[in-house]
Amino acid sequence: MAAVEDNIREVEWRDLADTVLVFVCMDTLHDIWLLIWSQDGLFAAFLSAFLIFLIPQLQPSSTDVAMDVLIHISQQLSNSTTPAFEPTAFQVSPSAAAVNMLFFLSLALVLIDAFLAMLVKGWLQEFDRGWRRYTVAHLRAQERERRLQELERWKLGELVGLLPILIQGSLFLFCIGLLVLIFPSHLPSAILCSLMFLSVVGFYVFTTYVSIVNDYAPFSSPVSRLFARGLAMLQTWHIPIPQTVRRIASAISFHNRPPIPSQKQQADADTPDEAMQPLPSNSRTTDVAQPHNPDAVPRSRSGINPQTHVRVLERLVTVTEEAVENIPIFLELLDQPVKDPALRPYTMEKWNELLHITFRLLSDQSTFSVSAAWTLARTMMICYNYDTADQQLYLTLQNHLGSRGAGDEKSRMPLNVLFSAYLSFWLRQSDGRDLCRTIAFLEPSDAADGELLWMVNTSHRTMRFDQDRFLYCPELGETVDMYILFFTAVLTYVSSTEQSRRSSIPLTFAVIYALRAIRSAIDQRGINSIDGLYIFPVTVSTPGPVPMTFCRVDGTDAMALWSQDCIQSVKDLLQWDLTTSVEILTDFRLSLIAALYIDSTKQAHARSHFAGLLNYTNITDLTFLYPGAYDDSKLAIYLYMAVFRKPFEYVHDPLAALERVIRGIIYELSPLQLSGLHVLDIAVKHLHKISAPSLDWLKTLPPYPLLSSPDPTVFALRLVGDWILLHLDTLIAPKPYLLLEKVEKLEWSDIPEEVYIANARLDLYDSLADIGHEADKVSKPDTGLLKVFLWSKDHGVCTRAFKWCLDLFPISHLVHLEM
Amino acid sequence: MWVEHFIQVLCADYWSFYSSWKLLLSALVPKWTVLPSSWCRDFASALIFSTDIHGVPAYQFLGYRYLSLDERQASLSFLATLLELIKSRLTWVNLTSLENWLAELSEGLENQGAHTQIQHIQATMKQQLVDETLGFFTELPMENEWLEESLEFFAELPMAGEWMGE
Repeated sequence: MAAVEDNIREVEWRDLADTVLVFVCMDTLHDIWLLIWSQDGLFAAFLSAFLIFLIPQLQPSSTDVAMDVLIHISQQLSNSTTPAFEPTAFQVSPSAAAVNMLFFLSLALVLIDAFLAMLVKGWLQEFDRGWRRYTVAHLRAQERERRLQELERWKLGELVGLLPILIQGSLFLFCIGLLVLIFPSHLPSAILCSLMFLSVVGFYVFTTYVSIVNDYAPFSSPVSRLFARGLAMLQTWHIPIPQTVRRIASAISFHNRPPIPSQKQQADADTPDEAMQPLPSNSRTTDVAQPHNPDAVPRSRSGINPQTHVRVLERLVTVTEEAVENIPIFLELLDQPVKDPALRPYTMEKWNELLHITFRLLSDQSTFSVSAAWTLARTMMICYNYDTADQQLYLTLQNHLGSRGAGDEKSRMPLNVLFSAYLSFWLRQSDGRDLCRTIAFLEPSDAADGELLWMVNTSHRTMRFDQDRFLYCPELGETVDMYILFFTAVLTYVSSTEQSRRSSIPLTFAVIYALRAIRSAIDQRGINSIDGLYIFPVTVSTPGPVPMTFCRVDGTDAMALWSQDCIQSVKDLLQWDLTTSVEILTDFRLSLIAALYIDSTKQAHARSHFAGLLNYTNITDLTFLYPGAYDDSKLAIYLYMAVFRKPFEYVHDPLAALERVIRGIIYELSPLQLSGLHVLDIAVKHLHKISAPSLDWLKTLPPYPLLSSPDPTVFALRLVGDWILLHLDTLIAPKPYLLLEKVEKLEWSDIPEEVYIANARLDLYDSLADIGHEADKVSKPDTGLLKVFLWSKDHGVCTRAFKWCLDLFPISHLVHLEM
Repeated sequence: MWVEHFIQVLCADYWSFYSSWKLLLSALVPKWTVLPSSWCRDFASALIFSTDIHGVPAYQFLGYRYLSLDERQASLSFLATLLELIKSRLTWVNLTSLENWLAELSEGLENQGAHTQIQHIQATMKQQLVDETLGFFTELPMENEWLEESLEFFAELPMAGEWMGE
């Protein structure tokens, strides 16, 4: 990139220097008479011709002296009294002096200009040679940077800009001299020339002024740039510019030029990275409201209106057909309306035509990259809805984007699958569950974060379902279910990938904000009351840009997340009384708690807020839509907090964290709690999987164990219940925690927790039986326990226990058991 | 008594009827011959005499509609075995209910071994009950033609079985 900049600058400066040299060299290096006839050396010829004519006026002429002598002799011959001839002192006429002075000054300026041009050309060659001699890239870059800094420090650019100004000054002086020369000789000719000169000067002043007030005018020159800079400096120094001048400037201005951007803004605009785009604004405030007003011309941040943008695309596409290297640039331009809503075209026809041209350009598989497909998918989503959808384009894009395979149900999804699912959902080709599952299992990346943020920001539009259409999913129930399903998927992605630890994109905050806005809209006037393109307000953007698509956000999102306002929103959401399915609600609450927990571990002041929020959780049924998205150890931690409403101190060691979770669950499971047992299973099974020896502390639990509180600030002991000990027997076989005599005394009460424990034990027996003879060595079903299970009213427990009894017991035992 | 509890569990859930029959056929039937006869009689009594709130016997309540033809034949065979055990305790109501239920069984089971066996038990026991009842009346002093006609009339009434059982 630096080399390109250098090349552009050097070529520009060298051309300028060459032009100057050609302009003036003819005056200095060639015979003056030849130059008169040269068509190229106009200025030098004119100047030389006039100088030849005028230089003698500065010296006494011998012809004039001889004429005077002859006249004097003639007078003496006719009159003898005439005195002897005495030559008069030579005097230069004022007009001749002025004309010569102006012409010589003009010539001097041209010579100085030639000299400077030759110097600049030499300097640039030296600059070029200085850093190109290095072959190692970083050394080359360092050398170039050092030389560039010096080049800027010594204002070489300004010096080059001075060269044409000198020539113009020279021409001006020449013109003045010419007028001074003509006026005494012939007045009508002088007046005519004066008028011509004035008109040319007027034209020059006019074009220069237009270039000053309009950056895009074709009359830009070093002089106009110099004046523009001077004007900007005057404004910077707060020197008042008369109102009249401003009025005239605005009247003459042919283009609604945006304010002169600051250097930083200029740098941002020049940066090709998508990250530099600020978060789109809410239509209720500024940007998006403008297209509804026919009198207002919507402006993008770059100051270009949509029609201009389309024209640029049209112009580029004509050359791109013959130059495929332009395709990335074209695609980048095509992607701009996605990033900058003000660039959305007024009519779909033109956009549709451009899309078709693009597809034709990309018909070659080698140039149709996945990123190109992403761009086109985004563009399609911006431009179409299901009524205007182009099925041919859709099918082509789907083909390039690919889709999720049937076998990768639990693997992380790449971004192109997300685009594919989202496009399909947007065009009502799917009911949204596939999209949500893809989001929940999305491969974490900065690009994915940005895409999801955009989807959250536009969710109030994309999630609208037309219930009359056949693709409406009746089992998803009310529209609000679809919102919850979608936001749950996003939160699952955030919490299962710990997105907030890696990225500064505030997805959690965005979901909370969007859900609050949508809920408020539904409660009041319906979702249609959000009539803008985006949900988020303008003020989400912050000074620290991150390399992300569609938005500019910073790392201060966590502060907003733990603001009182946001905390209240979370409380409301956790207590939202929905008639939605249990799986959706459970996943939503769990993922929200998990996402908040991850964020709270990053800052101390948030922990107390998080602990307070746990009191508002209500998870009783652990039936999930996306259980596979989470790592089991982290899932156990999140569930422990959500089920028991206890905060969990962040522990870096996952093994230690799991042990603390297990200890906490055992402590809290009195009385029994079905969801708690479920969490205990998840934690112990995972601990088994990763490190069986770490269960030693459990194996050393004595009969009738007393367990201390998991909260180190609270000193309390709790006796672990018999049914919990029995379940630990099941989970951590073969050690028997519950003594045999205690087993005999267990009383069956048919509560769901006991059924759960019994089923777990019977599952263990079945699994051991499947192993075969190994099972005999490990564990045998406890006859006393089976006898207890036989009295269960639960079909599964009773019949399975009965089956085991038939398999195990001798007849004598069967009679003895009084079945 | 646990067996009655067990039968209630088997019949408690409509969705588990199929698995209940599968359990009986796969686990209980193979062990049936080695189980104590007293327990077997208790089980047979519970399955055949226990009724739900509508008075439907448990073996009928369990239903056969989800079983395959082979499973139905096996279950009928098992039912015949149970009936053999407790046939002496069958009442006129039990037999009538059994007769009606057999008549409603789908085609394919008729004239099969177990089906025939059950029909035979049902017919035999019914005849035996009629004979016993008639024998009881013949011993009464008021035997005459009018009485025979009355008995025949009552035997055809719906509540005749209940009355005769008493």
